[in-house]
Formats: sequence, structure tokens, C-alpha cells
Amino acid sequence: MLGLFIKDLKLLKAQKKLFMLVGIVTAVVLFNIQDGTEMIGFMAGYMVFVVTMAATSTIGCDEADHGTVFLFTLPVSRKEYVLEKYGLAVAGSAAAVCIVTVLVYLVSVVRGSQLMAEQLFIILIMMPLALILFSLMVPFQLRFGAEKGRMMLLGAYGAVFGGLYILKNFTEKWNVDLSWIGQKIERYSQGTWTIVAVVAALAVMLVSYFASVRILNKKEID
Amino acid sequence: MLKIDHLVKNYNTFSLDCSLEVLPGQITGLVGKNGAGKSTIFHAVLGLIRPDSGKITVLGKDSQEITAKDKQKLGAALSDSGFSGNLTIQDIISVLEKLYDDFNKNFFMKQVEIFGLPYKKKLKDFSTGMKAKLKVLIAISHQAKLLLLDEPTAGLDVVARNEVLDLIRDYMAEDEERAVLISSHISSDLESLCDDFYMLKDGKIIFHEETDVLLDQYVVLKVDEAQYEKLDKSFILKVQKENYGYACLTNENAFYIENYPQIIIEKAAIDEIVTMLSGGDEQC
Repeated sequence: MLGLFIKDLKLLKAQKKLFMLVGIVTAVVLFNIQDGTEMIGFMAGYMVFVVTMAATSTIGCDEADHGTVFLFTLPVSRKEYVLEKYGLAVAGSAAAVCIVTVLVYLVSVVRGSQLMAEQLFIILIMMPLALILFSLMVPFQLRFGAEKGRMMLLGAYGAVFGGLYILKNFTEKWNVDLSWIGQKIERYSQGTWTIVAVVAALAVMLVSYFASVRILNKKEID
Repeated sequence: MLKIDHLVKNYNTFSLDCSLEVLPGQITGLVGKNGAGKSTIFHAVLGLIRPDSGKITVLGKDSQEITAKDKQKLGAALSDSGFSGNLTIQDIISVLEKLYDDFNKNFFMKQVEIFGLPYKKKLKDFSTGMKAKLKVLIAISHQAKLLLLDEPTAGLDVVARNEVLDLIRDYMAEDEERAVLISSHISSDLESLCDDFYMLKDGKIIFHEETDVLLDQYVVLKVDEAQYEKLDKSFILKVQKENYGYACLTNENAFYIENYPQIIIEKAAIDEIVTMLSGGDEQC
């Protein structure tokens, strides 16, 4: 499996210009913002999501020119292949979180200010969120192929947001009060939400992993 | 080493139904036109596709139960498939080192040098010949017991073709327990390499013979209309209409030499046998 991991790192090396650009943009914005937490959250999300989603792009690289067929002639099981993709996403998102944290820390040192817990929270929370999105994408990509999988996922997002829009219209029309949800959310601390996000990410990843292994085991690779 | 027993795989417009065996110490050739089902056989042996029925035994194990560890002993080079074009040989070496317990880096690097393959060039920029050599090199660099080579010489010029075939010969010479299943749609490529041949047509094995027997006993009788009428056709395998009369393929050259001294009898090249078997009229 380590061989696959190295292969993917070498493939991602081809996107190093993109990663450098994302890093530079993040650094420039972070060093130039005045009041930070919201913008830190935005930039952390930007960087963590780009890096994590890059892991899914390696599935597309593998598929190009029937490459997956060859990969499974190597001493690699389908289970290991899937596991490696999740490992890559976790490593990528963790690396991105570390880089953003270091950048935010450097900004605080330059400005002589303190790194706030709220800022750390907003950076950290991006990792489970990015991994949830990643976990939703992988089964689609393995089932339908990289291109088709992306389209299917966009369709699924459309359906979810469409459903929420209809729900919103419905609650407005029938005067259903949902403000209690917002009040409940505010009642819990950042620590609680971090735990909720991590547990949710682990649960989604686990379900997604088993679904992906099942999809790949059933798939005829030719 | 490899035994395929009534492998059946059905697609919408194509059905495969074949049996074959590759013995230790042997190079077995699989010959057939494009679309005959050669790649389907390789994919089934490697467990990439599921047969509809039949049994495939690879290195003593059912092909559907082959683990990653078992694949350490297999070397495969498939047509139109390989490492991502964005990688370089330098990248591939570190991947193979981690994947194979017995990856022979020194041998690999030496061969890369001999073939003049560029280390830092992306694979997508390699010529067809370079890609073909690299594929076979990857397959033979980890002490595999069984090589599965699907069209390894496709699209190569004569020099590159011979280099690839020499690589396979050297691999076999190192250990007499090794075996190779190699396919090609150009049968003459395999004439000097294989110990036996299977011929595949429309998903069916229509012919199997050892190369020695093939070159020894198979001849083409060239006869005119009158000679053809008088000919004992008991041992004629195929007949093909020609300008001069008929070309008749037989594997009983002694019988015809003895009984028909007046007719022209020519040694059959494998290409000729394949062409006749896949195209001529059956006579038996």
C-alpha cells in the first residue's frame, strides 16, 4: 500500500504549481487581513478543501488510459486501493491544517497578538468537513468513473439543496418556526461542535469506505 | 502454472469459451486477430473480470482468490495499459521498490540504461517502443514465476520487437520453473519464442499444437483442380482457393509425400497456418 501512496504523491507532484499558488494566496490574505476569525475560516477552508479534493483527482489519474487495469495487476488488493485513497485524504487535510495553523501563528507573532482558541477551532473544523465531502465523492467516483462521478455528485448536491429550498418555502408558507434549531446550535460550545464534527466525519468515512470497497469489489476492471 | 478450464464470459456482442494450459518451463503463445478475446483471457486470469462460468487456476489457486501476496509471483504487461503517463521511470522505481518484495532495482536500472530509456521524462512522452520495453521490464524485474504478456510487441518495429523477445528469452533462461503466456495478433512474432500455440477465433480456441510439431508436420499442399479431385482429403485440415487451384493444410506430411510425390509440398509458416485455419474451408 505504501507503493500506492508514493505513486499518488508523485502524481500530485504534477499539481505542485496549484498547491504553491493556493499556499501563496492563503499566506498573502492571512498577512493582510485586519480582523481575522471569519477570514481565517474562509482561507483555512479554501486551502484544506483544495488539498483534500486533490486526493480524489488521483482516482481520475489512475483511470486515464486504462491505468486502473494495470494497477490491479500489481500486488495490490482492491481494499488496499480504497484504504490508500482515504489515507491520502487524511494526510493531505492534516498537512493543510498544519500549514494554515503555522501561517496564522506567524501572523500573530508578526502582529504581536495572541493566537485565539476560536481561530484554532475554525481551522481545525475544516478537516472533518473536508473529509466528509471527500467521503461523499469517492464512492460516486469509483462507481461511475471520475468524470461521471463528479456529475452524479453535483446532481446529488442539487437534489439536497433543492430539497432544503422546498423545505424553506414550505415552512414559510405554513408558518412553521424553525428558529429553535439555531438557538440549540448556539447553546453548545466550540469544543462540543469539534467533537460532533470529528465523530460525524469518522462515521461518514467509515460508511463511505465500506461502500467504496463493496463497489470496487463488484466492479469489473477492463 | 496456469490452467483455464472452460472459461466462459459473455458480453453483448461477444462470447468467450476457452480452455488452455501453461506448463512450467514453457512459453505458450496465444494467437488471434484483434477482438478474438485474448485480452479478456488475460483480464480473467488476473481476476480483473469475473468469469460467467469455468475455472481458472493460477499458481495452484483459483484466480478469484488471488491475493496481493500471490501477485508478487505474477508479472503482467497488458496492451493499452500501464503506469500513469504523468510519472517518470524515476518515480516508478520508488513505487515498485515498495510494492514488490523481490524487486531487482539493479537489474531494472541496468536494463533501463541498455534500452536507453530516459529516467526523468514523463511516460506519456515515450515512444511506442519505449513504452513496450518498459512494460515488459516492469513485469520481469521482481522474480515473477508466471508472466502474462498481452500483445507486448504490438506496434513495434523489427529491432524493438526482437529486443523485447530477447528480454523474455533471458527471463526464461534464468529459471526453468518459470512460464509465460504471451499473446499477439502477429503470429510470426512468436514463432521463434513459443513452445506451444493456441489459436483463438471469435472467443473459441480453434487450434492447439506444440511449435516443434507445427514446424515439423504441418505442410501446405499446392494442387491444381485435377490433383485436388484425386487427393485423399482424410488428413486435410483446411483448404483455401488460390489462383493455381487449391492450397491444402495438413499435419500428415509423411502421408502425402509418400502417396503424392508429384504434388508441390511446402513447409507451412505459422503465419500461413494461422491464416488458413482462421479463413479456409474445413475439410475433415
